[in-house]
Amino acid sequence: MHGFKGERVLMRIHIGERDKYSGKPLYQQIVELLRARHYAGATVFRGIMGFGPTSKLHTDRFLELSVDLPIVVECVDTEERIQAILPELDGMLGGGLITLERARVIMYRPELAPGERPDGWAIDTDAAG
Amino acid sequence: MKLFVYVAIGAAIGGVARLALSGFVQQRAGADFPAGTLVVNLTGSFLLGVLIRYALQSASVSPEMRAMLTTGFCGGYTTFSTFSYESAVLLQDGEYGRAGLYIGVSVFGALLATFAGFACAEWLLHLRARV
Repeated sequence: MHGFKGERVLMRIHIGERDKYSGKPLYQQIVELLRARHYAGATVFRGIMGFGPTSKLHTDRFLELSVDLPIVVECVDTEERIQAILPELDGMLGGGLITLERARVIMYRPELAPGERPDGWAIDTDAAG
Repeated sequence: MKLFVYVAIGAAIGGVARLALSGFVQQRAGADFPAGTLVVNLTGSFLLGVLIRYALQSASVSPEMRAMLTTGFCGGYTTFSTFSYESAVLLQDGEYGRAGLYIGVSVFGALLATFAGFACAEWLLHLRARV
């Protein structure tokens, strides 16, 4: 676990809630793919308002515009692993936005009581700032 | 499936539900007050409040389902045009008191019903989180 700390890459994928791949929601397929390949993790957020390349506005304030709200899938992993999955993602995505940012991982661990944690699981405080 | 098909299915069921329920209520209410429309508009507003607030706070309702249940069913089930028509008839007949009551209860009752729907959705989500 402490081996995952350090300089990593944050990938953010912006798509629509209605986007599909092989009949299932695209965001679900992306998460299942990342999980099957044992990536460190992924989180899906639903946005409450947004627009993209088609300039269509989506918002939860009006019923007729709330049908295809923005979805963001976030994944943090090593540069190599992120680069490795990009060709497959390219095949799955229709329209959307993918960004890559540098991220410094200062903590990554499963739930364990403080007394049971191995050395090296603590948050890297010297890495902050 | 195209989104409008989901809306069409929901709206068809909603419209027929309105026909049945508001007809049933109005038969019992008589000719004096548009209770049938009031019932569907208030219950529909409550339902929309529950559905949309719940659906947007969870991942378990797909956008297609949302469209079918809200824009579709609730859209077909409630009616603004009938409310307006019935108010216009009351006014034309000189029933100003009844018209005022009908308009006031419809508008403020529906708002209250929507807020009650929100509260109900939050309660359901809370229940789900605790299970």
